[in-house]
Amino acid sequence: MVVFSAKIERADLERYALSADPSRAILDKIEFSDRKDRLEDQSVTKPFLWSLSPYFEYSLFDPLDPIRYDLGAKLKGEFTLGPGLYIDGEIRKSILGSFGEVLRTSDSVLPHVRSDHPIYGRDGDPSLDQLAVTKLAKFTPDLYARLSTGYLEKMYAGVSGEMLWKPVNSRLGVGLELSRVQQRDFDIRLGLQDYQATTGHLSAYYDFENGLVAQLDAGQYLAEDRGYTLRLSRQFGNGWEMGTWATITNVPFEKFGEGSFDKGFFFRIPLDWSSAQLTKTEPHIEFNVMGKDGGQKLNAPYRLYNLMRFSHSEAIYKEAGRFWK
Amino acid sequence: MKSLRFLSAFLLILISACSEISNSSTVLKSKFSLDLRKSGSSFEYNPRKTITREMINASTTPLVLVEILNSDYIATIQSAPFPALADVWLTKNGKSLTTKDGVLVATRGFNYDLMGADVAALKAALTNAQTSKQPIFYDRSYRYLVKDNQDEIITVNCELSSAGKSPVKIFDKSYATTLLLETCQNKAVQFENKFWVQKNGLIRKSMQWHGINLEMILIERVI
Repeated sequence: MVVFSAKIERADLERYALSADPSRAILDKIEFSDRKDRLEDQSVTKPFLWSLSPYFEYSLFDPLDPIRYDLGAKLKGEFTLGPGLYIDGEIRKSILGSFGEVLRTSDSVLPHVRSDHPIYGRDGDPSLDQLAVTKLAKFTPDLYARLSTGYLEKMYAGVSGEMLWKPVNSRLGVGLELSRVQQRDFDIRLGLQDYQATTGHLSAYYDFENGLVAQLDAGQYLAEDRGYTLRLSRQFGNGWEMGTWATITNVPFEKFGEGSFDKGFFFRIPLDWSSAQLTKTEPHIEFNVMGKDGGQKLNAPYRLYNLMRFSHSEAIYKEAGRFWK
Repeated sequence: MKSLRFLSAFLLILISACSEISNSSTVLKSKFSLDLRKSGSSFEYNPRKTITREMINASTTPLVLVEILNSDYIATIQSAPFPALADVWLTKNGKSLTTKDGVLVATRGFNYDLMGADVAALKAALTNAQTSKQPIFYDRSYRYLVKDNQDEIITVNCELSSAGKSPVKIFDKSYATTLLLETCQNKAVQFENKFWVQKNGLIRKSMQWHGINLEMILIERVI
């Protein structure tokens, strides 16, 4: 998808290309703007991308085994069917871990939208974590859209749509996501369970200086509880990202269970050194606390803000030194 | 995992090393009809031992010999076959050095690349120093790409002076040159560059500081 235009004067390139001036000097000369048309990238240069990388999951605070983990390999593939049209698949195989035995079943009074995670860990090996078709589109120069359907994530299948307003030179972005999903079988293959839900959020994103991004979501979660999530993250120039979030919904604290409300932290660590060739971008290890059922969101593929934030002028400035590489 | 990374790195280095030698052989073989692979399993390659003056005289394509003095890297590199902002010396496997009138301004494909350098003051000083009896003072800057994809710019205070006539011999041919010494320093680094400059201003031979990792690079203008 064509995200933005950048106009560079040849004289500026010649002046700065071999100079010792800071790379930001040439970026200051570039005129960034939203594409005036809705053209999509017609050059499908890599119709198939793949990656093989490790994954690591853990669950904490189980009284019978406070630290449980699962380490394995995941194979991801992405077929590009046409401009903005993708099929994504992900298969996982556990190698080492302690998810093989469910020590405690969930006693949550809410629909078990996430708290049965240990059962998925026990029964889903190997697992088809994702098999989904996604269409990305651009309606206006700064309005993007996504429609995904299939096995969207490890626990849910369904349909997910999203729109994002994000001008290239704006620090602010606004998104709207709406999904209708059905819970997948514990073996994480093709079957589905009975539970269905409608979930969606109105989201505001703000990109502060130094890679700090704040995201505020308001909407309905997987257990069809309603509330707000505040998420703060910071990405460094080398690709490392860390962040934290907290969610308050209309589920009373005593009904939510231990912890009172959903909260956690994550790290994303680029693992491109683990592959001898360029494959699917951004392999990473993610540490998430998963457990309770209140305030849980769908992990839809191709979230638009995550795609767009690295293609906008602020993101380019953060890695200014790479301009000449 | 550590051992896997080590193995991967070792294989990568091995593959890189083989391709470098192979490519260099191909270039020189087509240019000078040489067989650079020695007998046995060793891939030792030293252009000083394999290239002769007769071969050089038979060619008109600009060629430099480049040697990184703190490593075993040595190569003969031809000028890039495309127009560029400066003189680009490009190896078959994509490494390059860029010079402006013989002064190193950039590298690509090496570890710790020099992304750019201000050389205008040095070039002016090189022109004047051959006739000036007084040292010439100026500042220079080097730009590198460092962690988090940010710039690191090193600025040094330099002094250029003449050390007098100093003929150099390159592949059995002597050139009359003047040796110009450039001493540069700041609070963190100190180095001395040497330029052997012909009367017409051509830098026939030089030893130039690349940065704190590769340090000194020897560049000889062979053709």
